[in-house]
Amino acid sequence: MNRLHCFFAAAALVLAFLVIGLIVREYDTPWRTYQQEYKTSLQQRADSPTRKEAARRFAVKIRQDWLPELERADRCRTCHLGVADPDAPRAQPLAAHPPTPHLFRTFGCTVCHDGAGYAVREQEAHARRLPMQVIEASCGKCHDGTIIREQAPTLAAGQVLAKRYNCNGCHDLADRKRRHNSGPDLNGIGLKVSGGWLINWLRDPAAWLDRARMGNFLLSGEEQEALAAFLTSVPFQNKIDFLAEEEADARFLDGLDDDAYDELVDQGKVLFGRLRCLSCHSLHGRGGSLGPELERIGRKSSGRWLRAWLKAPRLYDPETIMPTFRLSRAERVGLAEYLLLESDYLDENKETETPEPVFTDEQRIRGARLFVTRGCFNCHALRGVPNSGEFAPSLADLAGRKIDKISFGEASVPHTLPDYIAAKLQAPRIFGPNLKMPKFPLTPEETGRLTTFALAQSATIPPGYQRKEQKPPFAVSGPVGRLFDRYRCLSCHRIRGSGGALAPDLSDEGSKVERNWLISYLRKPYAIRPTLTERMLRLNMTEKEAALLADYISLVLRNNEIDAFPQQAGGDPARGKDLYYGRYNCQSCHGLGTGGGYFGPALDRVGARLRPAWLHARLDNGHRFEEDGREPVLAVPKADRADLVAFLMTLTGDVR
Amino acid sequence: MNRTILLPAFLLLFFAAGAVAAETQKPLPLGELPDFTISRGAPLYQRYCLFCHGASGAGDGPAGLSLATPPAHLGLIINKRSRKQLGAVILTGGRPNGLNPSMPGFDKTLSARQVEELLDFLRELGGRQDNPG
Repeated sequence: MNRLHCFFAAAALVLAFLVIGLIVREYDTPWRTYQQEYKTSLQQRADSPTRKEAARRFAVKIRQDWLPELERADRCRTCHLGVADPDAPRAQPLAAHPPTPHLFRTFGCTVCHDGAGYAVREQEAHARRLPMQVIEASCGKCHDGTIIREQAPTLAAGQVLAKRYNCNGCHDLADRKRRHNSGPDLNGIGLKVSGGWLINWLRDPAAWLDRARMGNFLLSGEEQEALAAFLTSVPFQNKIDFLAEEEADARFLDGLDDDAYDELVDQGKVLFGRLRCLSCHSLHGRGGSLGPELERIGRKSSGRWLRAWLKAPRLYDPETIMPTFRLSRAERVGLAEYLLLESDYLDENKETETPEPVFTDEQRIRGARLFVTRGCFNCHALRGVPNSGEFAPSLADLAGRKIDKISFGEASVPHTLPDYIAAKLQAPRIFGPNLKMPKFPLTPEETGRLTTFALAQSATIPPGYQRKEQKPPFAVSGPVGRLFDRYRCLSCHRIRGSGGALAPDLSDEGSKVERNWLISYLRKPYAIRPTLTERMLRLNMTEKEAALLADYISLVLRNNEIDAFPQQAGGDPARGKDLYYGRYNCQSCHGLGTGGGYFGPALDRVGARLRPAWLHARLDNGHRFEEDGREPVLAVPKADRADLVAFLMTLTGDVR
Repeated sequence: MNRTILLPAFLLLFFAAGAVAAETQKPLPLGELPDFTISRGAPLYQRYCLFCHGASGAGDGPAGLSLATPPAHLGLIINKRSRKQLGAVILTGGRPNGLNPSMPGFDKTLSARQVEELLDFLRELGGRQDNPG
């Protein structure tokens, strides 16, 4: 009996000590020190009775933001007391949060920063926090489009890289399923390049082309040869159509004497400039990057392929972004010869030609197998190779992946998700020798930006927030659709969210330009913005084609908001001229006659080009109709606007 | 006897090969990558300023060449003027501040926060001018 009492007494004592110990431990936490510090700072800064009173009443206690809608209870402000206080001490944890569009009271902290919101000790709270370098990944969980471009530039750069290297070809992403075929169609590749060139390319694409979009698949020499053997042996369905002119072209070339040949090449050079090939292709360090560089085309592509390609690119690759130019045989052959000679010229000291490799059937069969197992079909179309089924892991909820479900293998990489992704991008085989992912030619900075993009792939969007649905792509059918297809307008121009970003958005073009000007421009484009390398291509359209396109654009691509502005100039051109040169200083950006700047388009023919309503809208607020317009919002008052527009409408030709 | 030599030799080879392989593809942890973040002012600068003031802020942008008074070398003025003065030039343009009249005002284009972001980026540009490379 007595013994039992002793035992209970001892147990009660131990319990009391434990409880006291726990209380002491809980009491002696850094956050109390921080709160005392903050209170002192408040008292020192208090310069009015109300602020003094507030500082006096500041209580040392756990502070929690409870956000039932977001299913969060964040206690971060227990230590981070100054987040919303711009005059808070500069040092963490009391420092103020930099400007943000989100309020702490509505969003809390962990929605963006991750980590354990309920914890009040640094080590536990910050354990799985998102590193600050990649914090913009959180913006991408809810936002897209313009907001990301303007507010989260690091993530935006990551998005561009992800598109460039076609991550989506193998992986599902948060906002879209896998989509195939962003690389060239490989049907007929044997006509275009040699087996030797292919082996060289497969060894390391970046060695041939600095900014190659294709990654290095780290293939063995045998594998490179086998794939080249397979690809050069693939039969080409359109061969007869594509090479229909081959013999006639060859006869034409043979029939030329030296003088005629030289003249043909000279004209090819003139044509190269006139068609504005440099808008998309680069040669001798100048030009665009939408299409392949032409510096070494003679070392890569065969002459017969190039001549046939210039005639009808779509017969070779139905998905090509290159438009079909209207060229005569002499023009076509001349342009091809010019390009081949230009690239040979640069290549005088090239290493001695290696003989073209001879492949065996065994190699071809092995290559066919590799084409499937290495996932080439994810980016390249090839007849008879299906491109469906699972291939690479889905990244749709990469951000939510549990760290203990990830295999780090033997690699000495810190066991966190951001480090895993960064390591995988830098050394794709580091977590296992049999992994399939290629190595892309990324700089260390690009690796970080792409990691930010990867961490934005999350399936857990806070309730009530939804990414925008992808709009259905803009499409035109009928005769106009065939013109859009032939001239590949959407390779450079964007219309209602679809198309390229090289040239102006045409969504409101019908409300913007005059139909007659459009016809003449389509037939014979000129430089509206003289400083740009990328200019409208001279597509050699027929009068009828240009008229059909102009009709479609002026009728369909309209914007009611712009059309609601005055359709007439209706002001005083003389006063408008004074305003142009005086108050609004338009000449500092716009060229007119021999004067003016180069920032905006030249205004010499603006009266014949633009519609008055569009000018009114533009002078009011250009940004409403142009998402990434560079002109500052002018907000010209209505009276001034009428006069300015009246002056601009008088500019229909040369100004002296 | 043979085995006693073979095993260490084998292990040595194995680890040596492993060391070489690791050497060739040792990835940097995220924290050791060079600073890859892009400040929010950068896209604003590219959109509105770069054409005249140039990529490095030296006033050598392609559009600036045509101006009667050349655009300011931002690297030279950024540390000489207060943040408030610089903000005023961005908002109201050159003319009211007695500077290059070709500089337009962005008061109806940029929000107060965007001006702050742009000023932060200009400070970065100024810093780069001070210590090239």
